[in-house]
Amino acid sequence: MITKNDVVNMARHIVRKDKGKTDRSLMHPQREWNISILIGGIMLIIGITYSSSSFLHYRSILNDESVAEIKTANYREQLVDQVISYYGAKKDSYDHLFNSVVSKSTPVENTESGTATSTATSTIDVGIEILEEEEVATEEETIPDLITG
Amino acid sequence: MNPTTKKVFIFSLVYFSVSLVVLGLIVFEVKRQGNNMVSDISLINQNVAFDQAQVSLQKLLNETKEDRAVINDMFLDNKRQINFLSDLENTADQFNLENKIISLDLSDKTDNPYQDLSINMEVIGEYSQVKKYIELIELIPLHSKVVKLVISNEEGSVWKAVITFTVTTLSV
Repeated sequence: MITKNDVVNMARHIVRKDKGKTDRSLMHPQREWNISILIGGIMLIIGITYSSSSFLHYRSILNDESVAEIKTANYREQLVDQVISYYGAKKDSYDHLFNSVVSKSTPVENTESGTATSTATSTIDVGIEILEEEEVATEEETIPDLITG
Repeated sequence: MNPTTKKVFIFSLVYFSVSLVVLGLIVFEVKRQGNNMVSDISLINQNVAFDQAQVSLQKLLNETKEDRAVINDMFLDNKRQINFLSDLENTADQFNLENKIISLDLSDKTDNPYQDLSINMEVIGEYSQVKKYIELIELIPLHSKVVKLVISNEEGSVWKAVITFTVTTLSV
């Protein structure tokens, strides 16, 4: 009579034998297919990551409008204005003093009056020459004063 | 191994290797082109900045033309030096002062275009005229500076002043 233990032993024997079976087939289409899909997926993910990071990197460069700064001449307008007004005042004082002295000075001989006139003109030239067209008017206004003075 | 299986296996390996190499080449090319683009963009940006700087400088030059002309006139240029000296003498004559330019000394040339013309002159005459002439020298509307001044009484109301002053010249 077959007992319960005999059945269990038979089952164990069969199971053990099954475990010992070696798989002689080298290719497993299902397995290889899965591995291929896995590798392809990994490569796809790497590719997507790389291309998107490259895209974002180069897009940020294209959008970066910060232009390299080149040092340009610093024009100190305020200082220039100060200097111009300082020299303008200096010139006015010069003209004033010059005219006052020349007008007070004793009339010179005719031969010297030519010198006086040319002096006035050239003295003004030193200071003016600046205002281009306006200077002509200034000279014309100043010279008769000097001559009559 | 079954020959067909072997063939498929080798083909798969070759296909995989070729795909990997092509992918690597694509990545390398993307990287190279990207670097080229970065350097090109940097160059373009530099050129743009340079152009902008040039345009702004040109604009500044145009805007400040008159001011710069005024400032240039604060310096003696080569053409006006002789006239300036004649003017000094003629002005002294007009002030009824005897005058003599004792010495002229132009400072050594440096990297900048400015040189100091040192003028040492003496004027002799009435005290009030001498004083006014000195004031006039101080007020010359040029970049100038009185360096030394010696006034002495010659005789009675006749005074003598020896003035040393510098005028900055601009040689362009």
